[in-house]
Amino acid sequence: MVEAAICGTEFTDFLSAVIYPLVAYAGIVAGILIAITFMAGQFLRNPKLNVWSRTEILQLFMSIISLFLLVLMFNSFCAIDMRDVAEIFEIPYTCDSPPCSVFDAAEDYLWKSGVYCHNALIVARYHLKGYTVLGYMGEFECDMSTGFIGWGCWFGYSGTNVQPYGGYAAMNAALGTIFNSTLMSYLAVLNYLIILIYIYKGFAFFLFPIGIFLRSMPYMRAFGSVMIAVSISFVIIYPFFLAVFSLMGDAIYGECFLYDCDIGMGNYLHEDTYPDHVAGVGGSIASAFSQDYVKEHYYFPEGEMAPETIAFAGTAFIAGFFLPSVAMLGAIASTVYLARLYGSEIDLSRIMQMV
Amino acid sequence: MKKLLFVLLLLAPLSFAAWVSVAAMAVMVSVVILAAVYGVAIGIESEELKVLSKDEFFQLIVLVLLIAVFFIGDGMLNAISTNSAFTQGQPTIQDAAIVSLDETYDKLSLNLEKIASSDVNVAKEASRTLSCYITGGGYSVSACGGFTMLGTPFSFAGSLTAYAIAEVSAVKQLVIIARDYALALLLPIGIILRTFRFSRGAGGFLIALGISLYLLVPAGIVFVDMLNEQFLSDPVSSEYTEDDPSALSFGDPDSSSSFTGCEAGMPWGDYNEDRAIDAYQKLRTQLKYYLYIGLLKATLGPVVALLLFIGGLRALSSIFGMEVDVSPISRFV
Repeated sequence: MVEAAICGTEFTDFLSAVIYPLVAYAGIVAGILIAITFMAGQFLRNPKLNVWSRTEILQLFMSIISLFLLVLMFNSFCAIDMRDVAEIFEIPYTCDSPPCSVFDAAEDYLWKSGVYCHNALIVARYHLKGYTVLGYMGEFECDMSTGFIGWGCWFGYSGTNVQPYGGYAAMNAALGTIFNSTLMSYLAVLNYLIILIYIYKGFAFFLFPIGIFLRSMPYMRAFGSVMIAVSISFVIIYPFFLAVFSLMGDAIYGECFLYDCDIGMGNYLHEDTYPDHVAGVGGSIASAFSQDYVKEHYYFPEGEMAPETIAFAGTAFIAGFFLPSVAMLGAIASTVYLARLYGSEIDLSRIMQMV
Repeated sequence: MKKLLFVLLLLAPLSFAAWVSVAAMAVMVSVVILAAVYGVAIGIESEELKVLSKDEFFQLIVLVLLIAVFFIGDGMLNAISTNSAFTQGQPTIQDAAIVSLDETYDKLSLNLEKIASSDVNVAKEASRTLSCYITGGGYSVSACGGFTMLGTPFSFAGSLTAYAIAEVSAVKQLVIIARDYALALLLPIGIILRTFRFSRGAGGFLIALGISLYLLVPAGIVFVDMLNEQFLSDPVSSEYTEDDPSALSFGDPDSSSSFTGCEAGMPWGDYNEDRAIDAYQKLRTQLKYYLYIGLLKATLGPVVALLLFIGGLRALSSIFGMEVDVSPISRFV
């Protein structure tokens, strides 16, 4: 594994110094084994061994072609500029920090989706906090009131305890479920990002030489095929799908990473209006006269935005959970397809349950 | 057939959008590889490679046909998309779905506001506790406990409405993506990827994804709207839609639907219990007004849309070369 960025010189050096020699060793060892088997077949006049050797040499040839394909695709993905791709398809696309290779665009998509989900999470958290604080606010209505003076409290303590906003349970329940689902979206997008970084650090490439070697071993064809299929699918297909989704960034997370750019983060959040110690005392005194003033002045100066917050969470689900899951499905389905091409049928239904 | 293929290849870069040139290049590269493989097959007399080459040649023909179908009559998909039977007065089926989802979102937002407002008003009554203390001695009475029964249904209603809003917003996002990118990006890239054997699976998946998103997601919303229209034309529906639900309020002289509030110092008699029951009865009557938007418009529409999408993705990806296990997406529903 390497610390370098994918497509960088250091990463290419890692491929040349570690992966390609490993592939060459695996190919040579497999070739020697096949040659020995062929010679043994000739010597023993055993047609089964001869047929096996011929089949295996063809499979080894296929593996070498696969390596050629993987390297070709890898280099192409490093060379392709996504701005050119967007131009070909006449789609508006902004690349914040060139170079904008396919691999960069894939990482960029997940990173921006993560920011989008995190913003949704912040907005949901703010509203939950606001409603929870308001829910616990209490007031004491003194009996025998004349205007705002309650004579019942003049000599003692006579009146009614009330929680004016105690009923924000519905809103808290609504935002609580939404907060949880947004948290899932955020964790999901981070999970997919970690998988991508894991691939970019070169580990998936290690599967390739192992696959080449195993494919030529008796009874190990299926396992070796899966190794190669996983390697190609996760190095090529998974980033490719994410890069395609990054071209749709305008519709998915937009430039402002908010549900509605016109509303703006400043209108969703008013962290600075939460009362500090001094203002808290002022708020407490103010609440004796008007609870609505406290709510509107301290917590939601721009009005409550619960529906917008919930809608934000819904769109974060698409950006952070749905589309990356589709990319992962594409990669897994491609693994099945490629494994079939290499001659082995694999059942990934149980692994799919983890997606 | 070979002549037709050749003519199409020559015409493609001249007539169509920029991506078709890329597709044509992909086809040409594929033809060169195919020729090389076929040459090797003849050289080493491998029947397996010859069959493979022929199969690939047919796939190339399918690809060229796909590109041709894509352009015939300004796109078959666009023709379905703009069919007036589905568009409900909008230019396309996607626009119709977006308008419908916007309308649902607005009504759900209003409902959430009413539920929250009712909850606040009810909880305020439920929290009332009368106290009377003079020089350290006195008493405290809480006679409004009957109102607390209303809190749980409001919490539940709040959660359901929030889910419905999130669902509607998520599906609207999908429809917007489909409208803007399915035909412009997913389908062309899918067609190009389908050219090569190794990327055929991924290409088929992208084509299936593009078509399913473009047609089936908005279709689900529009079809359920059509069912709703049938329902609304039936006299029985008036019971569910004739009135807008109103927030429960207490002691508001300006509101005709306002109830008498709780008197915290009256634990005797049935006054407070009766008032709580009155509020509950009102809530029960109003429940059906929430159901039409919450269940039919906001839940059934998106669920049908997602089911159509999932079914379509599976069927189409199978047709285009790679069957995808869509069970993880099914769990979203």
